[in-house]
Amino acid sequence: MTDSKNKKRKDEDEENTFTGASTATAEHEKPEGVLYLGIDFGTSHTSVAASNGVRETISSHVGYPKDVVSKKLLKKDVLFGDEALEKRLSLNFFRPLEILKTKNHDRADFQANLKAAQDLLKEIIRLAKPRKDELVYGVIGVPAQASIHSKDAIIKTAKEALDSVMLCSEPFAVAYGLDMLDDVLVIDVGAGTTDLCRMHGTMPEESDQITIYHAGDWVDHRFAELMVERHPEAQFTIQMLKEIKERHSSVDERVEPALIELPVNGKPTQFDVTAELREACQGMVPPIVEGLKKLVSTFDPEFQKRLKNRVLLAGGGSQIRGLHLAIEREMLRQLGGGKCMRIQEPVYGGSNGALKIAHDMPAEYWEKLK
Amino acid sequence: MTTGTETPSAEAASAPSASPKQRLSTVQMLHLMRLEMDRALRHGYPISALVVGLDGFDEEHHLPWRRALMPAIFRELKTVTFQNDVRGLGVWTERFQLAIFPHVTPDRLLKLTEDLLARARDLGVPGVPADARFTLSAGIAHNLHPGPMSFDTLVEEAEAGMGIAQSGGGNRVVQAREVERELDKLREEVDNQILEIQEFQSKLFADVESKEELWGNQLLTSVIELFKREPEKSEGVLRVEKEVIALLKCELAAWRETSTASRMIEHQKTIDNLERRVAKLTESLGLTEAELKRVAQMKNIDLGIASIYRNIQGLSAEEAGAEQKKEMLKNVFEANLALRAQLASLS
Repeated sequence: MTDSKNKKRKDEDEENTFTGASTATAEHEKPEGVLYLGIDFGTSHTSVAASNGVRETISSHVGYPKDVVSKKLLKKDVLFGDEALEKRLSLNFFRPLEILKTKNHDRADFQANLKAAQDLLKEIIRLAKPRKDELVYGVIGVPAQASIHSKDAIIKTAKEALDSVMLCSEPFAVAYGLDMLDDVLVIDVGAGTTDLCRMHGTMPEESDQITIYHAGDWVDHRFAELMVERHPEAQFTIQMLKEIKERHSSVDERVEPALIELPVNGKPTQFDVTAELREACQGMVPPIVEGLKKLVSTFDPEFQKRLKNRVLLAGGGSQIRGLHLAIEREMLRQLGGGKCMRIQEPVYGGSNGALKIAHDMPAEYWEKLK
Repeated sequence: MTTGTETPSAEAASAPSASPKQRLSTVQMLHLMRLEMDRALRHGYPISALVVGLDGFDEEHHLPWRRALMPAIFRELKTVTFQNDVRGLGVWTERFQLAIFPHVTPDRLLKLTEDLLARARDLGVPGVPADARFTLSAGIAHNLHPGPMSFDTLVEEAEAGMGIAQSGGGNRVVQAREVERELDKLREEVDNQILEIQEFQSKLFADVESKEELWGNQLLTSVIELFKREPEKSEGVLRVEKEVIALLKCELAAWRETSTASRMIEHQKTIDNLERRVAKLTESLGLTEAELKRVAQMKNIDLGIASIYRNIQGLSAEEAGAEQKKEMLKNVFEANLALRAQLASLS
């Protein structure tokens, strides 16, 4: 019986710290739990990493049926992600983060975009599969130099769906997630902005962070300009070019030709857009390295070399083939050298880091921000 | 020993192939698995392991059948991996197949394995007689438990699960750790019940015995008092007194014995009834839970996946650079606090 009592005590201890997500019994016994979420609320894609093991990403598109007919046809009140994109002609279509993250908050459709962002956040939280009896605490990554209005909008959005919420700079989240907190330069290439952040063992300050608008959307528009210039007969939309970019983007010289079909007067015609696409992608390298140069040159001279050799490339834009090498080449030209490493999980780098921050944050902080 | 390795990924699963290709050696694949495990532990995401073996077919003359069956089963594993929309790394030998699945919770792997077992039951393999029916046993392990975990432990746990599945008749999947936990819990419940019953019994009989003892003592005292009324006792009276008291004691003891025995039988019946009721209630509770799950599934009610944490964690003091991180987290919090104050003043 003594063994049995010991076992009981041991099991009680173990039950207090039981972390299995799979045991139905344990779940039933659970009085309450805390689900941590790390959210990368991106202009192009929104990703979530949750403490129940779920990781999801959807494109940041929201659509509401335009009228009763389309509502009946779509059988939904609101559509998200690629589904919304695909059926956008029947929808009041929003790319809400594009508006929320810019400074243009006086737009007539700002409130509608805010509502769309709220719905998008609710959807990504739903995808994280929280249990009804759990508290949901989230850390959301925002651009390094997001305006106060943008932050306000994101907090308003998040408060609807989360029990407690904190914002943190996206590149800081990436660095925290990778445990690279000393003498690191993070480049987070998103769709709307590219954030540069200098980490030197303390919380990055205003002067440690630079936000530039040479990012995914800029590449799309530059690509469109080049297409109009060199293939004026081709008919396309920005969305079509974005899809082409996601499939073929590269700054490598030696790459398979990007042969695509675009309509010309209604007839599908093949175009080789390798050069245009490379030029558009290459266009964001000099501004990024300019930013790096600012951050390196204002750093302690003793550690500048170390900083240059620890550049992390993150974000969806880092998936452009050869981008890290192009940055290294430009660094060699502008800064006399440097080493750029692409992170392993570009899509989830921000959300993983935000999740780690959420996990490490003490209880009293969460309580105060409820 | 024949071995093969593959990544049972969506691409691999969709690729038509007569036999698994030898892309990487088993050693290389195990190395990759270890790396995946390290990453899962470092980033704290779930990783699950699956070990699958054939039930029986252990005789020497079964060896050619095993050699035909194992790659075929591996192809089935790839197919179900593809169908369940997960990714993993797998190796196979004549004796077993091992696969690990990063970012896959045990629930999903359980579903995948059940699909595999179901497909394997209907699998026809050239070189294996059609009447030689075979089944699989599988063990599952995951890293979501507290305490130290390594790749070797994960595989050992999954192997233990397969062992339990095989010893339980095969054609099933078992999570060794969960079985152990359930067994511990059952043992604890049984121990508690026994304790409660024993306490109940001892309390019951102690009360009865003390009441009977009291009544017997009172009777004896009354008889002794009766004999005390005689101031001068003759030898004959003394002898009678002694004999009466001895007789009374003897009779009381006999009566107490029969009375206790009959009461014990009566109480035992009560205990049996109570135990039966407990068993029925437990069974009924299990059925209710199963029914609840079924209804929830039918209505597409997503019950969600529980977080692996029951309360707020906070940074562990043992983590590398804990002080530095604490300072950073404090700064993040203070920046958020300042932001809220700023927003409040703006509005």
